[in-house]
Amino acid sequence: MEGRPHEERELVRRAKHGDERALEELVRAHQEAAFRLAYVITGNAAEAEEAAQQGFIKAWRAFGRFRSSRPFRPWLLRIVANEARNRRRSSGRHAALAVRAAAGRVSGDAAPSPEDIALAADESRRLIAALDSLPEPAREVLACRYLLGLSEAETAAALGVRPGTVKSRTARALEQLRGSYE
Amino acid sequence: MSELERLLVETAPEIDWPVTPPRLVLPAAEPQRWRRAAIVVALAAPLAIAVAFAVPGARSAILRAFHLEGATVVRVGVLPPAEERPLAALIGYPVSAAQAQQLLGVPVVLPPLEKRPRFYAESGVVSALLDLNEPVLLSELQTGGGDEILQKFAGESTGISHVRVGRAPGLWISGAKHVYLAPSVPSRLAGNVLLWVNDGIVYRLEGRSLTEADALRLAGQITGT
Repeated sequence: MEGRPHEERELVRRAKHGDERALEELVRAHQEAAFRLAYVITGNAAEAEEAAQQGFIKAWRAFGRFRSSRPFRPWLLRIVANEARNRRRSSGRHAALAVRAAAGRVSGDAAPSPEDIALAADESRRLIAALDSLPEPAREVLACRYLLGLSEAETAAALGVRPGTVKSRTARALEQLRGSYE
Repeated sequence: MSELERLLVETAPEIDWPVTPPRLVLPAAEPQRWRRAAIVVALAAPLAIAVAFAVPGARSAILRAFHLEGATVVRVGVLPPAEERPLAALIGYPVSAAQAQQLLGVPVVLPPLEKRPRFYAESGVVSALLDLNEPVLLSELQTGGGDEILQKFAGESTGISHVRVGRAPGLWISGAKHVYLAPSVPSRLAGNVLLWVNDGIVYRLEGRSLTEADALRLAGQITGT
């Protein structure tokens, strides 16, 4: 429970009392993360939506087995990720991640020129293309950690591996990405 | 953080994620197994306690587990802490008869009363406080198939006897108070309790000074003698 927001603890407590709105609020708080995680795994928006929806239903039904002393988000993400993996196995594909057309991170204080923005956008696209070219385990662990901003514990739950595996897999994946990007 | 990691983090906001569906809904209208499981625990615990007391040799055991309907009761020499509170405290939020029926899968059945009581639901347990000579708490829940294991605790000085409500098996728990562990609410000390199971529903009647005869009479009015 340490480090968990008081609000989440309260929602879990209310949900354990049978308050359906509290459980719904809990799920909604992590809806975007769950959907994007499902998208990373399935590579398909429709499949991701189905996976997230089915994952929420399973979480809803399994909430009695959720231990209140544990953080809610990793538990929910694990269920959604499992659902997404099942769907990926059946659909057998993943689509490439894409960078927004107008994107382009530019460092420095000065106002960026259109050329700077275009170059930065190209760099972003190249990086994401390199990420997408990695083997699935490497791609997923990097996407979870750096694109979705999941913690090691949350990534471990989502990928169904131990936190130590996340650490070593991340290090290897970064090396693979470096080789592919640079 | 390495330069590559920093680049990844800075690129994250630029990913063209598909729009998160605005309303990924929860199945509010579907049966909820977690609630049923919680119910089984809530009402099976006293039943398991009763079994624990009925098993020869159990009284001499300091720790012993008994399993029933998905619940586990650990027999202890000293009861765990539990609070005294009114029968009607923490029995849940008011629900309509239709909502109560949805939870149970069958209509809530009551003994003949001048005025129908309000129904309350707590973790799937449907309760009503019957306005009799003394308040009597009636709770009903699905047996649920015992799909969850939970632990409860029982002391040694509560009287337990097997009873029948019509053909339905039951247990009469009386004498020294026992610990009632409802899901997700503080444990409380329970008074005299009649438990019985009929057609997939567990029924529970509790009153501070409820007698066995009155409990059996009420039970017969609820599910038939």
